[in-house]
Amino acid sequence: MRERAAVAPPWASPPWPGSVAGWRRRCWPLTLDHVWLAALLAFAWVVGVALQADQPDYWWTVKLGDLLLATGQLPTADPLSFTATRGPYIEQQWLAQLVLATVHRLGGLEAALVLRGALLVATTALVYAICRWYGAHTAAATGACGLALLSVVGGAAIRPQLFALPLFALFLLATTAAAGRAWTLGALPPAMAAWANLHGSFPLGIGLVGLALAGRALALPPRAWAGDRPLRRLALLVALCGLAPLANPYGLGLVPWLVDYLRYNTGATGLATLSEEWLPTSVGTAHGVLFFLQVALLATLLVRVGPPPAADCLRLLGFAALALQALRSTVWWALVMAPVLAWALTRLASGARAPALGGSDRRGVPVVNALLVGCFGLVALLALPWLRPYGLLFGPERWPVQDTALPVAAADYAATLPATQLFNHMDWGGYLAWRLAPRQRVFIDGRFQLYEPARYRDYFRIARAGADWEARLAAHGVQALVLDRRADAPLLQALAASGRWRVAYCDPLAAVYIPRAVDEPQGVDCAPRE
Amino acid sequence: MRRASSPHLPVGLALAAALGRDPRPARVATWPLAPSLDTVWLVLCAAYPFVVLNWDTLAADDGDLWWTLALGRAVWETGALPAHDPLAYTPTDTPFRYAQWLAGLLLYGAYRLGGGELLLVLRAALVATVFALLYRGCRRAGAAPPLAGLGTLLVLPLVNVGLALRPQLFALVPFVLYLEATRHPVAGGRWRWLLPLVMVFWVNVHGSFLLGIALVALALLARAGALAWREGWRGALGEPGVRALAQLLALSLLAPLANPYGLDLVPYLQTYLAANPDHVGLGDLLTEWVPTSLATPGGPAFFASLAVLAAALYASRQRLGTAELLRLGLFAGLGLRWLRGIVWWGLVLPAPLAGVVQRGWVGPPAPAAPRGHAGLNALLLGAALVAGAASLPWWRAYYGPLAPPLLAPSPLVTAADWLATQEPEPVFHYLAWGPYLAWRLERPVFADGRYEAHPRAVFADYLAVSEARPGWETRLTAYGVEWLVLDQRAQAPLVRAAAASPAWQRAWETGPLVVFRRAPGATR
Repeated sequence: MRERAAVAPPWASPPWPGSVAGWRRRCWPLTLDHVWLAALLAFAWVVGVALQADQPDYWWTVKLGDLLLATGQLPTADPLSFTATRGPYIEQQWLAQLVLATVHRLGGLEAALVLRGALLVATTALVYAICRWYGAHTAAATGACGLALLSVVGGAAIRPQLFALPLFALFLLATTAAAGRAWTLGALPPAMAAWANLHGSFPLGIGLVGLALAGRALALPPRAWAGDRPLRRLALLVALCGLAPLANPYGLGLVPWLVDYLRYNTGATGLATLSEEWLPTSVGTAHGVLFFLQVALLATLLVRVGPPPAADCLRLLGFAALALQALRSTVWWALVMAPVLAWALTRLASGARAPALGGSDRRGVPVVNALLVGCFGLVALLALPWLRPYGLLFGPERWPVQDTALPVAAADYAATLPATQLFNHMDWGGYLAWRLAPRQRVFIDGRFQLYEPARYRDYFRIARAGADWEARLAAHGVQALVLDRRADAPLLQALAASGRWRVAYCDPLAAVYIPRAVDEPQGVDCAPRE
Repeated sequence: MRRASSPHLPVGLALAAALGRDPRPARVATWPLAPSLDTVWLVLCAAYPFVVLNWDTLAADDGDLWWTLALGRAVWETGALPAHDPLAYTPTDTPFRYAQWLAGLLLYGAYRLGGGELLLVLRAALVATVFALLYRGCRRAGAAPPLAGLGTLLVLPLVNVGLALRPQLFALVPFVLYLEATRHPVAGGRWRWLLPLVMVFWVNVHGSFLLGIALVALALLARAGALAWREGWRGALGEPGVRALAQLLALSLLAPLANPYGLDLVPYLQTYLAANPDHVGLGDLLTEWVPTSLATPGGPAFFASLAVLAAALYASRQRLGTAELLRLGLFAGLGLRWLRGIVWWGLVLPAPLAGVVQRGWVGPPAPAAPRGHAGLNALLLGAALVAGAASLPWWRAYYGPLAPPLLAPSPLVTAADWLATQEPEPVFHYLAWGPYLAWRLERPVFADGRYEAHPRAVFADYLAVSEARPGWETRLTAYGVEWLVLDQRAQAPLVRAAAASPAWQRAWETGPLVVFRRAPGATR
């Protein structure tokens, strides 16, 4: 049996970086460590700016931000849809909406991609720093962060959650490498206040602090608790971070909203889980496979090198359970897993002789190192979305900035209609709202918790041409339909057969139907696409 | 690898263990008047699933049972394996190979002999045997009787995933026998040579016989690799365990040839493994081939069992051997990949888990298991036997409304009884109802639960017709369909389309089930 002390990792008391001069000494001359770091950050940047902004969440977020900028106040009712929404109406993510709308105004989708790249670089850099303070080799830290980044990309759509990634990494840093340090008392509560106004995942930050506190308490005998300064600071931090979310426009009203948000999206209201990202994780998805591979890899390594301390075990178990519960939580798991993985890899490679904390391992040839770092910088520069039309690194055909499956032309046509209540393909709700609201309003969009379960049941019954689909359309006062010719095939057939609707617009992607007068022709043929 | 020594004779092979005697003279001398604690736990482990499963009900929409019975009937009545698929009028993959013919015959034979009651008892007896073998496996891993008993019974939620009445049921006992044989390759004496015969049985009842070969190959690889690492290949190849496993592997590779199709079985298996997981478009009709998650049946139990094993290994500071780790890794992966893989994981897990807990927390196993209180043991044993006898389904009539019905009431049963009086021509039906209709009507149906039996085009047509896509009537006409047996929940578009079409008239309706027949004089 191994002795506990023999497997204790070297991050029990990590040194905090020294002065600015110390940092400067670390940055020149360039070593192989810098090359690894540059490669990792360039990877994070390229991933952030190269993947298209294809998520429906982006468009309604920007639209709501636009309306905030225009009116200067938070709305009290949903301005995008014409159907009744659940109350009370709360815009918890108002700050993210403002930022994204401002960025979009400044530079369009390209600027949003750059913002994502920057946030991913910040997140990766923070996790890398944790890995290094855990005593990991640069190569191990780079590998672990790269593996984690593959999972993070799945949760890095341009939407409010994106802002939560660097905040989570900051909290992770402050509760692992810098746990119990004085600066965390000043930095984390404001960060938590910002987080609570950016995205609903802010309880994870409180959870991280709580886990660090529990881990610290488990590592000490109870009689030592009172005299342990880091423990006292962590306890204070839990209290401060628990209070900080109250600094939001709704105060305590945010709590029931958050509970409802979680219950609704996990199917507790009786409605089946609507979004794949809220489904329990399995190997049926690429990100599920990645998650289980990470678990298997980490478990295998820990069997070899010994278990980490209690705080890390708690973190790993807690976030693994969270990731099992919903696919979207694999992002948080990956960030938590990376430092332990990096440490385990390092320990496996070097036995019990872990390297000096945060120290450089190999220097290499400084000129060559500088050349390599320059190459990574050049790649990052060429990946800028504004250079996409030139095809220098990514061809615009294969790497479009905007999702090519959006009904751009159909929205152009719908904009010419008089003020209308649109029944729309659900995935297009956000985009149509961005293009047309508030003059035209949509039936439904991707803000799942906003609508009553009955609304979704109606939506699916109509979309599948279920019983009384026309009566349901009439009951909601629908005046036009914007449909996907592939996904909404049953409804397209039913519309064509009913005789009470006619095709007003048709392209290979979308069809727009409006009511047909008795003596009007049927309109062009717009059959479903296989 | 640290191997625990068994408190009993090193009877490694489960077959030998099941048939062998307890080595302690005192027990032999006093049994059955003074049963030991070991015997009590063994009987409890077998009795619990026996009672629970005897209390079950047959369901008309439990597809695999009915097509297995229907195929078994075809073989029984003709005395030969069918050259063409007798259950479908739609195109089937040719040549037709009925690889699970023995399972069909056994189930149909049991049905002829004792009806649905005997089917339930047969399943309960098979599962009870499996649990008795699992208990012996736990004991051999060093667990004391209570720990071995609890370890065995706690995997019931995992194994339960694969306990439907169908050919796979016959694979459970062979799997456990192979599992124990590969854990203790030199034990078992002459009984060891019966295992290839078990493989012959296995290959003719279910396609999972490949798992048996995988178990042997894995054990051989781990054992030979570990020995070669320490002593070189020469030493490894001369080791009795390696030799025994190599011989078993060779015989187990040859044994599957003892099937009616010889080597032609291989392409069938390829089709089977490729076709079933690939039918994703069929929605919830193929739930057992979906990846396991917290939302799937058995998923929470599966992940909880992984966590329990990890926690036990962590807290006990015990290490498992390479072979056991490989086995657990392989079957955990299988359970993760497909929901139906959980059952094998449930069979592999108890022995190493109980062994780890025993060595890590309870201490090394005692040289002789405690015998307990003789009177209490006899009482428990008697209670278990009485409960087992009382649970037999033939007594249900005496229990009145407390007892579940043998066949669960269902609109499908009612409709099938009525349809049988109509002698319907080709029927298009909700897919999950095909097997029961084939069994009850004794006529070919559109398709049943054997997704490997048909080309993909048949299922594409099924979906197109069920969703009433353009041309649905043409497709039905092409198959010569005269009757529709539809589920109003799953096939709502088709129900509406048929109701609106002059070519079809509603003939029967009960609950969600609606029957249409082609209108007289309707153009085809």
